[in-house]
Amino acid sequence: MESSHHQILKPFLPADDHRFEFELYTIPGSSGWFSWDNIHEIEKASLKEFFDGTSFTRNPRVYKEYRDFIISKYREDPSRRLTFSEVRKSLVGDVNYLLKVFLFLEKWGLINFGAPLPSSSVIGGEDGDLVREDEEAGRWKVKVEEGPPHGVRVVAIPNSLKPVSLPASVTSNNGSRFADSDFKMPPLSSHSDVYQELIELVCESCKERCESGHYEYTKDASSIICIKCFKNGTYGKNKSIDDFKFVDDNPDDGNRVAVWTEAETLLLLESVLKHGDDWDLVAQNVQTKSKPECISKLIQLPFGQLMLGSAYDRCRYRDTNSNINNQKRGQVGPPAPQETKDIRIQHIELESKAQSQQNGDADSEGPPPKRICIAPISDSSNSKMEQTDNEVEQVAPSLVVPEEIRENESQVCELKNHKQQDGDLDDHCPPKSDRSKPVPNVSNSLMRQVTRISAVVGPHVAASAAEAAITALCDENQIPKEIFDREENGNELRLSTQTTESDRIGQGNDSEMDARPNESEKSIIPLPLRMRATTATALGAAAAHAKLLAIQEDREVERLVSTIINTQLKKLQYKMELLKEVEAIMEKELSEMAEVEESVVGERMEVVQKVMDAGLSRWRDGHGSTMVNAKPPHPQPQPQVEIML
Amino acid sequence: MKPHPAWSSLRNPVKFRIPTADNLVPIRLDIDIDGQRFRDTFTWNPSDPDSDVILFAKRTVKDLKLPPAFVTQIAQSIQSQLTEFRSFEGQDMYTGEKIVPIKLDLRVNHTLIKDQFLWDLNNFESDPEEFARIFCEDLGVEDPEVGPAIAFAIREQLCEIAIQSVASAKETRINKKGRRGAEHLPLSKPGGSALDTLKLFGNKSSVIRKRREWDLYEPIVDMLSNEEVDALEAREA
Repeated sequence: MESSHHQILKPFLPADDHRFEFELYTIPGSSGWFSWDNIHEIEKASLKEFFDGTSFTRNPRVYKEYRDFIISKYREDPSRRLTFSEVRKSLVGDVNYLLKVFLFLEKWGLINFGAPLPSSSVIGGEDGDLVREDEEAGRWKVKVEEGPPHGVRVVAIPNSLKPVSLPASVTSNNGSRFADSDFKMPPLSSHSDVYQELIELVCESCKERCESGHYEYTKDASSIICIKCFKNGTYGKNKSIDDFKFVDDNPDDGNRVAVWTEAETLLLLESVLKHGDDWDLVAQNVQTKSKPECISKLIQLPFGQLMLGSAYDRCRYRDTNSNINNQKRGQVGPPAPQETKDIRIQHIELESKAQSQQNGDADSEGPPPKRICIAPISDSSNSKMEQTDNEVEQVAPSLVVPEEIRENESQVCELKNHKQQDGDLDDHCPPKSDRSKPVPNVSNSLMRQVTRISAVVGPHVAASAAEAAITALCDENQIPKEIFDREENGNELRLSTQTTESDRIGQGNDSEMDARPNESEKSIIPLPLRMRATTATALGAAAAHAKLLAIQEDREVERLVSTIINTQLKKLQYKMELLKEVEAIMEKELSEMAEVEESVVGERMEVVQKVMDAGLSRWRDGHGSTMVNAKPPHPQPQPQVEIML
Repeated sequence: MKPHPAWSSLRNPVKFRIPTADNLVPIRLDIDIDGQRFRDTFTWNPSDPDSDVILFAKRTVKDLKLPPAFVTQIAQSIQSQLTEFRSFEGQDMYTGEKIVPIKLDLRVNHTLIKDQFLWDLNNFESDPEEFARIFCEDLGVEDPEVGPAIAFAIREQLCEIAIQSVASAKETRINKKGRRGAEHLPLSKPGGSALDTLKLFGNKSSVIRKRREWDLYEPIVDMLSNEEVDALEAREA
């Protein structure tokens, strides 16, 4: 009883330390204005009665006492709900104003925040009311659960009825965009932009929405006609019946989505990496799939978002390059004839091959003339490194067919190996940190993406990650095990290239290995398997990297904590010294006091003696005492020492 | 923003009314005809037309299946209480700095309520019904009749005090006439129960009640057994 009383009174003590005592209580963020020492404007505005001076019985002081009492009463036990009836018996004043203060504090969560709702909060226990309360609580829960998914939800299957089911905010956005369809949005910035195209599946000839399905012009995914027009033969000029492909928009038909082959998926990934968000180009690259299909497939992929993000970044980085590429394509014309493109690509490829072979024995100082003609970037610096980069960029668009990837990659490996071998090349290279940083323009192919991720971590980590990935794959299936057992060498080489990439200085004994035989070996491994292996490797490497970071962080935390403890100990030591000092002072004062007492007693004795000698023994006490008091009172030092801890 | 009624009442007397947000007259009926007893309490809006009284009486008798003789009795009782209330209307009521203790001691069916709290007569926004509702909520009273009964008890006491305040206002006028310049007499005398606000709310005293007084102002709710109820009713009758 007594102790609790003490606790109630604490907040009213002038001492500051009570705030630390109450620091752990939770109040809603909106009530951050609250302070024990002040009355906030909100309080003044909400409870005018106490601040307008209308009554003697209501003033800010009274309000503050009410407030402080109610809050500290609640905080005696924050887990139970404080009721008004419980409080009012302890407070003097009009119950209506008390109630107002109480409700105000409750509204702001300064009391009863987090306390359970009253179970018997209904007058007369009417069941209906109870049910209503439960319903309210339930609704609240539901509210919390719903939310973002509405806007984010993406349906994989193209659905022409989409705009109807889209949330209001999105449709309104799109509506404004529909109004001026001439305005072309920059490459994808949000899902709604992606689906804007989907929404507008309008037949080219009859200008009506294609509800159930449509035919797509294979040479240019952007032109579509509805079934009716297709049957009527109104294809539009310069287009033949063979160029159209039927695309079913029926949302119930999910079969089509499932028919992505692994090769197609890889192709899609490559294209996305290359073209970023330019879905027209991606679809063109994938060939066998339409743009919406590509988009939905990518989104369905577990790491689709990741790819998109990095690709987007990369696009920004190599603006100049892609511009040039686009320009080239633009010259060819929108329905790009695949044959000519392929020819061009093969041409470049040949060139680069020749060049890479030349690179082996050629002097690295002066770029060969051939390279200049295939790397038509005028503003590139003289550094050889950048030129090779550009060259890689140029080669990259050729990665249309999976077979070419391997070749390409091996070329890249080869290039690197050559660079490694050329001792003097290092002088011309940009600092290796540039190389090992995850700058997106380093790679174009998926493999190199993996390499890039792995390059961030150390070679050991990458190696073990790859090992773990392969083991996991082997556990999954027996067949790859055999393949990988055979292909251990190949993997090792891949890792070694990573190693060389992350630390290019010397120690390239592994990289001395020839890449050529590898290539032939590698081609035995089925492509999907390789893809999975590489993906797994990358993920594993990233995880390992994260683990390393975590360990580092832990150490840092440990170090900091120990520093803190040390500091605290020092502080304590200082305090102890201070205490000792104080003690010494106290003792000194004590002895002084004793001296003073002695002298006072002596003086008094003297006085009494003199009085006796003078024969004035019959003086009244009053006189005697005045005489004694008449003496200047000895200053008595008060031992007042305050120790602030 | 409307001017503060409380402020004006300090300087000037206000016209008589119940010092709550709604100016409702507490009506208490206790009618006994041929051994049949009808008791009820409710509030009445004094600005309603009087023709409603008889309609109310008829409807009540019909609903409760009382003998027709009750109609006139009920109507008369309501009418007389309304008339009494209205006789004070228009008169000045001087409330001053007046905070009065309200004491509750009532029994509703099986629930026994004892409570004591303070009520500011200058608070013309007070709401006895809301207070009663929270009372029941906080104390877990489930009988739906308790809340209205508490509100009525508060209103009844407030009405009584308001009528006394009219009387005190008269006295004050007389005093002022008699002794010019003299201050009005302390209101606590005619009001009888008003508290010394200066003492309670002065700078020296805390508005936190002393612990030993807590029990005095603590609401008490007792549930009575059937036998106890019977015994009490027998005593009352």
